[in-house]
Amino acid sequence: MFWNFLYRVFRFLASLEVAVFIILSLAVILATGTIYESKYSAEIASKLVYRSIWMQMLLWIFIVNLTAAAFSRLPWRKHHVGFLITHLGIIILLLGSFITQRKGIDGSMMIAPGSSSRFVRINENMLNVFRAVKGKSYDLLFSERLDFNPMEQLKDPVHFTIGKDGEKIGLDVLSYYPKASRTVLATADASGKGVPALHFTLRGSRATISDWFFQSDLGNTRQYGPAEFRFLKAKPDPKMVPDRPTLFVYTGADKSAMPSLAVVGRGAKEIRYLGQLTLGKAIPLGWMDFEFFVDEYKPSANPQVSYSPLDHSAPESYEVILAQLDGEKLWLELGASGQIARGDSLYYLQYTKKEIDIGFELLLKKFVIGYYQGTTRPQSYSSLVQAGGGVDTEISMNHPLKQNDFTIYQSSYETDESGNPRYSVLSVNQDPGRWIKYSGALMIVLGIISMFYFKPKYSGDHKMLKKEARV
Amino acid sequence: MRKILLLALCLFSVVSEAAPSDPLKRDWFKPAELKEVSLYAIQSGGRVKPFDTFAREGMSLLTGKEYFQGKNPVELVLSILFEAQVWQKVEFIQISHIPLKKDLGLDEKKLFFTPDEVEHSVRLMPLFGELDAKQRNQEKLNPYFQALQRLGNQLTFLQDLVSGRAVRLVPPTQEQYNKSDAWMGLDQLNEDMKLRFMLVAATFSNENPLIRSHMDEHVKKFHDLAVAVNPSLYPNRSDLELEFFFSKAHLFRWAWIVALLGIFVLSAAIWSEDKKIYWSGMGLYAVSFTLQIVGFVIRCLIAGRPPVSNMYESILWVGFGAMLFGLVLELIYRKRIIAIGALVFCVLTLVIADNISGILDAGIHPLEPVLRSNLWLTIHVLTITLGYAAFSLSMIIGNIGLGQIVVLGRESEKLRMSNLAFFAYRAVQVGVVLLAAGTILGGVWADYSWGRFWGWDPKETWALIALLGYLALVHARFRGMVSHFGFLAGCVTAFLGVLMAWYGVNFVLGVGLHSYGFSSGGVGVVATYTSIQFLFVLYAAWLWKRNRQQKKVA
Repeated sequence: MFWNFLYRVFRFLASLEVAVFIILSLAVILATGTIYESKYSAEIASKLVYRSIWMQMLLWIFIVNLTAAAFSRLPWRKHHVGFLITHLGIIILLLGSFITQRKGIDGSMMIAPGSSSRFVRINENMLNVFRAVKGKSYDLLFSERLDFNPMEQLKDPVHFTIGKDGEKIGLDVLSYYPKASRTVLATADASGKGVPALHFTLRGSRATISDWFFQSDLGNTRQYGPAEFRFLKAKPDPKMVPDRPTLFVYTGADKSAMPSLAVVGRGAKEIRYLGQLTLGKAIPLGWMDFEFFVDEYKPSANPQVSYSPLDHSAPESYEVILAQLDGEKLWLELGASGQIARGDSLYYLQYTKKEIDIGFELLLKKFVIGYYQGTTRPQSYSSLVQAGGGVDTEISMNHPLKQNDFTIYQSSYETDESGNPRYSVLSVNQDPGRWIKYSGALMIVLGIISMFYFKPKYSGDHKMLKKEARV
Repeated sequence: MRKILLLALCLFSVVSEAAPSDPLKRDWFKPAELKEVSLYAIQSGGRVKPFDTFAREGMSLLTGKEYFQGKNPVELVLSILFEAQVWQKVEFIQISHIPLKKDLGLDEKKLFFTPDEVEHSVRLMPLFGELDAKQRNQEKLNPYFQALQRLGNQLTFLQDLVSGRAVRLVPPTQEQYNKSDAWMGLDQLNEDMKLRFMLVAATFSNENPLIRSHMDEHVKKFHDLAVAVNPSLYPNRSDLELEFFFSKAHLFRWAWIVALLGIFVLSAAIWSEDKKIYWSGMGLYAVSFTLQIVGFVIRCLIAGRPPVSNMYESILWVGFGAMLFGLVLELIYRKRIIAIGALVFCVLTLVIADNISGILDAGIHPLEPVLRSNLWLTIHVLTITLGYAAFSLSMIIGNIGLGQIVVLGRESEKLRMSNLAFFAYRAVQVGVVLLAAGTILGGVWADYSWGRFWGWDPKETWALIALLGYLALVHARFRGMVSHFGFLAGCVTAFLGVLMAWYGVNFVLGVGLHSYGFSSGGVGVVATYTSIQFLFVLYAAWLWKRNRQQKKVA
């Protein structure tokens, strides 16, 4: 009875009906994935479809089905060879890709010509916490992957307990916004330790911008379209005329007095000084019909950043988490870091892409772009590199470099505004499943060919039609 | 020297007085009088090509077709170059996107506009500003902005043509070449050459046919001067002549005309036992096939790579592949219908490729850096597209099977469903092997080229989905889950997956799902085709089922 039941389950799993069902389900799921990719992004499609737990489960059921189908044909005959090779090939290919997914490394490196790097950036978001006690150097306290669903905000906060030697410090991730807009507000600092901040509006028929602007120690600079805004501590030097449209705001010796304004137009040879600003008074800039006015000024203020979730793509959108360490909250943008002071300890939190040390230094000596004759259309590009202090090697499209267990490929490049290469983008890859996948793939192709062309079963139709063939 | 100057001035003074108001209405050159100009080497779009090709591409861009109002493109481009003022008022700039025309304040019903009209539209500059911002942010462009981008390209080309910048006709000296490989345009000529060229311009615009007939001589003289600047950079005359011949001969157009004849003759051969009819039909098949082979060989020689780098080339290639497999199967089984099916599909593809130059660009353009590996490009892309070709053949055979049910209401003696299903199955077998191998080879290339065997890129994913569709069909057939009719219907339906992988990924997913309503790049046509095929399959299935029930009752 039991064996009978088991046998029926086996026959069911081995059946072609199940196979057809799985094949069609795969097709439908994958089609959904491509639509997700087109609508959102490749990353979201990969996370929600291609690498989802459902897809993994379906593939394992597929493997079970293939195996059962193979064993259901026992005892195997000669005409089963093609069928067996193909189906075994699929299993091997899938196992190979599981290995790649688990053990493989697939990352990228951005190197500027003349500099070097030994870290590969992996597309995984990490939360790292470092701690320094009483001025000692930083210690890594915590490092964990945050693998959130990029389609939605976090429903339940995630809790970690961190610390060394039995310490118990609470670390929570309270919120996660896959896309968020950033608002910076200036809060007045009564102690006078803050920096001057003004809230301005730039108004014109082409665009209107309204924002807080802070003067920082580094001489804050911001980019709005083609124009650059700079908030200086002193009047800009008339001899130093920038070569792009620039707007200067500058304070004098007395920070509590309203700052003054100066502009440089496109291609202008000199700075035009427009005098001290007055609250609410619009000043024409001479850039098309743009006007500039200030509606608030704080001589001493601190920037306070807050984020609100967005449900659509925007040019300036940030991926952010709200972390809480020992009761203190902190917003972190992806790729940024922040500090929390607690008693003697200073915590340094970092929300960033994972980086892996490849064990050798990769020096980019030169990056060359070749163009199609008489055009600015690239024909080829290549990086001249030195890996681990060895000989100079050229990496280009279709010509990767193998070094230690890694393969380094030319992926793309980034240019500055005048079209000169700023970074060479290389992908770095380690794939222990490669040869397993390749052998599986080869088996599939050979198997299909032998199945279709050497199978006696179909020769009946063929012979009959061949005999019938008339001219 | 002074003589030339004098002559040029004389000729020019005549021209400026009597310039024709509409250049399209005067007498035109005979093609033989334009041979030297047509063969003149021009650097454009990343390679050196005959002026003829340059002119064809230019007119295609500006007017949507090479022969605008039936005139020779070489002459049209020369006329725009030499008589720019007059052309400002001629309606020849093609804009077809209706909302864009509305926004620019242009007449929606017209298809062609004068440069004056377009350039004076108030909204033009702000719109270009928006387009520029989108391009800087690397946003996907919707059909509206694609149309605007095309208009931008048209206006830029026109400006560059009129200023002479686009006409790069003199190779750089060796010294210049070491700095830049750009050829010198008309705007960079030295005084001597400028004068020589004015002679060409003056003879071109002259009213007197006798003077005009000497234009080619002046071109030849100018050509000799240009070659002397740097003979090593000059292409062989035979290469230029080959490309000129290729553009003129329209081999692929002749191929579909011959194939169309072949369809009629072979259809007659189904009902006739006369061997001569069959063999003459197959003869036409062979001629069409050979014309395509010659076409591909020449195209490869010109481009220096296999002809599968854009939609235009792949459409030609898939049609050709269908004919290749059709020929093999026909020669084995001699059922006529396979050859007819292959011809029908091939005519379809060739007619499409020949007639929608607005969407499919027939020009030979440089490749993206990653594709510049002839070995991989050849084996990977050719394998996949030949797979598509085999599936196309099965789709046509499927449609023939369903068609006879719809038309006759039953299967005919000549075209038994079981036979058709078997032929379609043969084609599917070939397709499955090629698509599986091609997709895997693509993985191997991707792995070799940037270290990723499989990256779930939409193109490769859809190739896999298409393959899965056929695998489901083949397994269902093996188990007896589908009848002969069901298999043919499956071939028709599964081909929609191929269409998505082949066309949809680039034209539908590529532009994103943000484009509403407006068809661009034939999306509307393909969507219509898809729905018609669905309805056709459903209707045929309904008829088939009713038939069988009636048989049972009887």
